[in-house]
Amino acid sequence: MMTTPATDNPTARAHAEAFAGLVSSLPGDATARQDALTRFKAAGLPTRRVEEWKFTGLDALSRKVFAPAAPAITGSPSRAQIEAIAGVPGAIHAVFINGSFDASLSDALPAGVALLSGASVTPTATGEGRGQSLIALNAAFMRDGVVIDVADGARIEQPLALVFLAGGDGAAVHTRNVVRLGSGAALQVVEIHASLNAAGATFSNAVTEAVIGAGARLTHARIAAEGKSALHHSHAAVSIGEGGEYVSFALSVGGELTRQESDVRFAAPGGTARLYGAYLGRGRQHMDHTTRVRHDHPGCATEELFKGALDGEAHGVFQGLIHVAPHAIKTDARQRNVNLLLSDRAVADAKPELEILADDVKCSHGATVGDLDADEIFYLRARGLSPDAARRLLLTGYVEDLIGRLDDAAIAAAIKARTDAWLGEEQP
Amino acid sequence: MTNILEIRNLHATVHGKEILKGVDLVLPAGEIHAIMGPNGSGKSTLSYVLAGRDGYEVTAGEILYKGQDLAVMEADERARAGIFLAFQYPVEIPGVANSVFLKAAVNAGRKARGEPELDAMDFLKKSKALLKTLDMDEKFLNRPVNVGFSGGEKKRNEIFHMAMIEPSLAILDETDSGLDIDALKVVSAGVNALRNENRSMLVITHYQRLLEHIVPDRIHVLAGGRIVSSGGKELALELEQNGYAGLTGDKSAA
Ligand SMILES: Nc1ncnc2c1ncn2[C@@H]1O[C@H](COP(=O)(O)OP(=O)(O)O)[C@@H](O)[C@H]1O
Ligand SMILES: [Mg+2]
Repeated sequence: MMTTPATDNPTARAHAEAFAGLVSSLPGDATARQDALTRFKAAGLPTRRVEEWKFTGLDALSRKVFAPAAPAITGSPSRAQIEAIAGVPGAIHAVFINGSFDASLSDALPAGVALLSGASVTPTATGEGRGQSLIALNAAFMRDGVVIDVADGARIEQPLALVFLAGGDGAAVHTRNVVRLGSGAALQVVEIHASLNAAGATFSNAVTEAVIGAGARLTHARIAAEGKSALHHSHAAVSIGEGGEYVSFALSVGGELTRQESDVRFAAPGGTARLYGAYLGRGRQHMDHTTRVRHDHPGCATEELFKGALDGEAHGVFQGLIHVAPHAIKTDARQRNVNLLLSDRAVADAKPELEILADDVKCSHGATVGDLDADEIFYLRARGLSPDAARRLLLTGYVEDLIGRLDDAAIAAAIKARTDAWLGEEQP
Repeated sequence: MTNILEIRNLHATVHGKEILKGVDLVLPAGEIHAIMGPNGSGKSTLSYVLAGRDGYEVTAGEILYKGQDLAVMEADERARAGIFLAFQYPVEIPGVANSVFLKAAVNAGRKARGEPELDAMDFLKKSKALLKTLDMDEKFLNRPVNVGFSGGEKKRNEIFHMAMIEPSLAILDETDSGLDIDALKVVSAGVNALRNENRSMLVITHYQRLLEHIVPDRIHVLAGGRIVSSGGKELALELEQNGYAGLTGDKSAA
């Protein structure tokens, strides 16, 4: 048996039971939502017996009931707090509280940016596949998000900060964004997922679909920084047009369990995907980054670098699959995963995978798990830094080396603010 | 005259293997002594033992720095007390700007000595002035420590760090290797500018070429884990002509 029947899981059951009462209040086509729910029920929640989930279990969804969240809750933050949570200098902010747009906390949305709730987006099966029933669940229950259309040749200078706040114990929040870039267009989007109440157990299930036109460039950052008891699943389904570029940064610094997935495919030759990620865990946090890149066209390039720093009893997971189809010659794909274990009880699992069916390609992958480098520590200590100062500086550099690969200063700043905060926190 | 460094009958092992087998060496304040010797004779080992590297264990003898037993001091305490090692192979630190590291190092020492820390402005001013004397571009401040530096640039950067940190005892481990003649002159001038009556240096080198530019007060030859010969600067020329092969175990006065 590969999956748990949906009805056996209390969270799945709570969703199924809530559907009929909710569907009329949700945007878009109700029949498509019903279909999505049917797909979800048929697949059930993934278990560790599904290859894609062998390092990450969703037991937390059966230990506690998570039901679709009420659209609005009390205790909203102030506008100043929103900017601090987002941390993206000069951004246009769109704020969603438990999955519903909050106009009073948001900036005026520029032309081309609409709300999912007003755009009647029909849920499709985009991104769904083996082990991906959470995407079908999202399609059935997605309440809001942004739908962005950037016209051909338009380059949006201001970054867009999508702030998703979840709160209320047992709340499940399903959001979806759709981003479409015309040819030669450019856009920077940052999703920030944070908690309204750091202690509450919430389940956020966020999906972003992006279609990048020819020669267009999308920078997409996801920051998962929810409270200690939160569960977080996000999925980015991305298609890259001819000569287009997708630059992604997935950061995990919060939550009890976080899984961030990237599913990238090249829809035409000559595209570039740069996928970066960092997971900084301590306590008993579980952080999973799973990426899948499909090279179905010749002459595309992928650069992947994911770094983990795991303290306490934290568990980090990296799974990366790069598939190169037989005709995808001149593919240049490099994938690397590095893990630092800062305590002897921390665990890192790495599963880098290349499936190369084409000749004339340049592909490499590798994963390491280790401690801070003794030579580096000695070098710093021999200049007068205490062991603690040396360790902190090396850790900062470890993360900085990754953030430094981003060209977009505002996005780099938002990520750095989060990683600096993590590095500055005392060990529990 | 006081001695900055007194090494007596030093025996040391590296991961259990004895490399130093009774080293005696006295370095008075204000002097520069050179240590020469064939590859594998233990020169870098001596420098690491002095700097306090883990895995380098003193099994007999003692090292006194300004009269104080080094055995009880950790590597970083030694550095803050004024011991500086210019590495034979400087280490690359990705993601850490040279200036960030160096400022932390400079201020760790100043704090330990009870001196006020350098603020960003003063640090930058002093850095830029010193970089100029070492013929280094200011961009080396912002670049990650040693990452992508050429061999020569790494060695210059070590001397830059030394000039900023202003140690009492500087140990230069093969700072000349990898330098072309022009770079050697610049680096030597930088080292010579730091010569004063309170600062002593141990200049480790394989070739006498460096000693034409940094003229030592004394030269010691390390072979087989011992100082086998000591003398004035003329010893370097002798070695240049005859090589290390002719050296026996007999010690002249250190
Ligand atoms: N980490 C180590 N483990 C074991 N032996 C070592 C280590 N480092 C150096 N050695 C040995 O110690 C001896 C002295 O090395 P070293 O001090 O580097 O010589 P030098 O600097 O004079 O060329 C050599 O025989 C070398 O092989
Ligand atoms: Mg050596």
